[in-house]
Amino acid sequence: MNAPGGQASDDDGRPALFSDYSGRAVSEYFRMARWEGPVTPGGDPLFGARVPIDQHERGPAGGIRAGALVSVLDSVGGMMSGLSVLPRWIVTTNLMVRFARLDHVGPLRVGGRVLRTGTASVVSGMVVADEGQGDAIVATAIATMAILEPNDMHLDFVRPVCVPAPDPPEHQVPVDDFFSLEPGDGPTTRLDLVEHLRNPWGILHGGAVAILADEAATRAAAAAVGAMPGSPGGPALLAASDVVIHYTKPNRVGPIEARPTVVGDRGDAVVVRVPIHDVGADDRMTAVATVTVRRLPAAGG
Amino acid sequence: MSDPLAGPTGPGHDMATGGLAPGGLAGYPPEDHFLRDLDVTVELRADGTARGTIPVGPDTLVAGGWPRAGIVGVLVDSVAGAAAVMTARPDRVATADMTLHLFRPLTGPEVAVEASVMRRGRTTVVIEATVTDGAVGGPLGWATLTFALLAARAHQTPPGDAFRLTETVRTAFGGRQSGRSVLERIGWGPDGRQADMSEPAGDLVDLVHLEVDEYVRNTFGAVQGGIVALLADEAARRAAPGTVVADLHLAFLAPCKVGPIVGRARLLEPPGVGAGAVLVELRDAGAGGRVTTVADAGVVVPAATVGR
Repeated sequence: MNAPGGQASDDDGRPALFSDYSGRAVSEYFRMARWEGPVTPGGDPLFGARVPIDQHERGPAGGIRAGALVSVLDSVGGMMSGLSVLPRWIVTTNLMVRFARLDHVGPLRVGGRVLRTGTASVVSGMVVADEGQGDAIVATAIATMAILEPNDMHLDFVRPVCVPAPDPPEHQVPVDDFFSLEPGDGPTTRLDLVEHLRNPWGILHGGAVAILADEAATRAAAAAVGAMPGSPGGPALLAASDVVIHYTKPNRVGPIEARPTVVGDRGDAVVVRVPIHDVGADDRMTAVATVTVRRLPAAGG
Repeated sequence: MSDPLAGPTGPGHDMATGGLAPGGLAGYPPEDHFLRDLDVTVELRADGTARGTIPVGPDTLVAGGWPRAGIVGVLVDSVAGAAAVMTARPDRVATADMTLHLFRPLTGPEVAVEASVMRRGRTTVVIEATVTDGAVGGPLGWATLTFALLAARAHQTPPGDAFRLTETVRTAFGGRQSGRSVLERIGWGPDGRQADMSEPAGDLVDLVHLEVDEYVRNTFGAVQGGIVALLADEAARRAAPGTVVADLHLAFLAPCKVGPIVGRARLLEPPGVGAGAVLVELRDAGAGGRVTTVADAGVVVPAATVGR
């Protein structure tokens, strides 16, 4: 789910580890710069973003971890879609992200535009180019957002929006730590719903769900296929290459649990269904992800 | 079969969908329609799930024995649409997005889809579906769909509990033309163009044209969502010759009503260790060239995944 700015609490219970991030939004963790572009001749607003790829965000294929990029795209799509329906706002209902390459150099530049604005939803499309590889397109995404009445929440922006990238943090916090991921039983993976992961609506940021789904799906795939040749005794070399998430209810209480099951094996990849549950809210299901986890050559890449 | 739909309206009530539904509009589909040529069956159960089949025929297979993603998409849209219609009643539904993942070559005698409702919300219904082929070897694919709810018109709105299904309803659309190739009937434009994989990536290229007539329309008068998937599949494979579509993400932005519908695609990354990526866009040339559909496709070289 998306919302502008970053109004997370500064008390997440882990002050030493998270001192660099307390009070910042998830999007700031990825040091994202965002800007509103000119309107196209067809009347469509354009939107752009740029993210560096810090070393701790890289996955086994060398590029940014899938969940991290999906999280970035959730933020970009949310901002872009939200601005198009002001004074109303949006929440993510569906994200479809396809990775063309997994070996990103970075920084990554996201270009997006609103494709359709209806009475109840906004659909936007995004393309991710790798500036370190001659602007090769490395991912494409389609995001659908439901339109909300903000009620007493006042959303005020200076247009065109231009949010500079935050400075690098003094200490880099690993993705799993920032997103408070905890191992569960088998592939089941938990996320502790700490305050800095909430958006201004008070619910878990949609990007955090993507991180959780990616982690759980990759663990499920690893359990299904075992160690790969070239990594004897070690973990399989796997990375998510296709992520679809249907968000159906907000995550409010926590802990949030991902319970993945493998639904298909294509040889080059394993397809994993990942239902997400808010354990503290009567264990209700809040999202379902479908994650395609690709087998990688032993040397990576 | 006794009337399985408890309530005063029963089968035949207007519950038109982007796909189809048992007991849908009278006269739909017409005699000359792709649903008949594909011999589609749809079974709707009292528990709200739906199952449908298409026998393996001339249109079902592509290279390496893989199922044609677009034809699977036709069945997925139809079966999921039927499940969505039942849970949405008395409102109507239209397909908003579809994702399809295929796992292996098709070896069984039919393509079958089992669909169940994952969530019925205020404005949407989300459906999950498993694809099988009646053969040993596990599932053939997996799909998810979102349907937008369209409020029923007041004069069509019966009591909300009037549509409780009490037994299985089965609808078959076979007809006189059954067995004819849908792809031959549709055609894909005059030139049958394929992209050159040696060309550097550039803008999207016009690759496929679809004429819009009654043969491909749904009950809204627009091109059925599965046919849209078929068009996207065709455009993606032409953008990456020698490949098959294994993954497909589709977002339906506007109905394809006038035509011709132009399928444009661009190969982003050829298949290598994993699936390649193709970007697809469909425009309705007769409606000012508006973009009706955007899609991302994952393409694989069949030999790379057969008999692993």
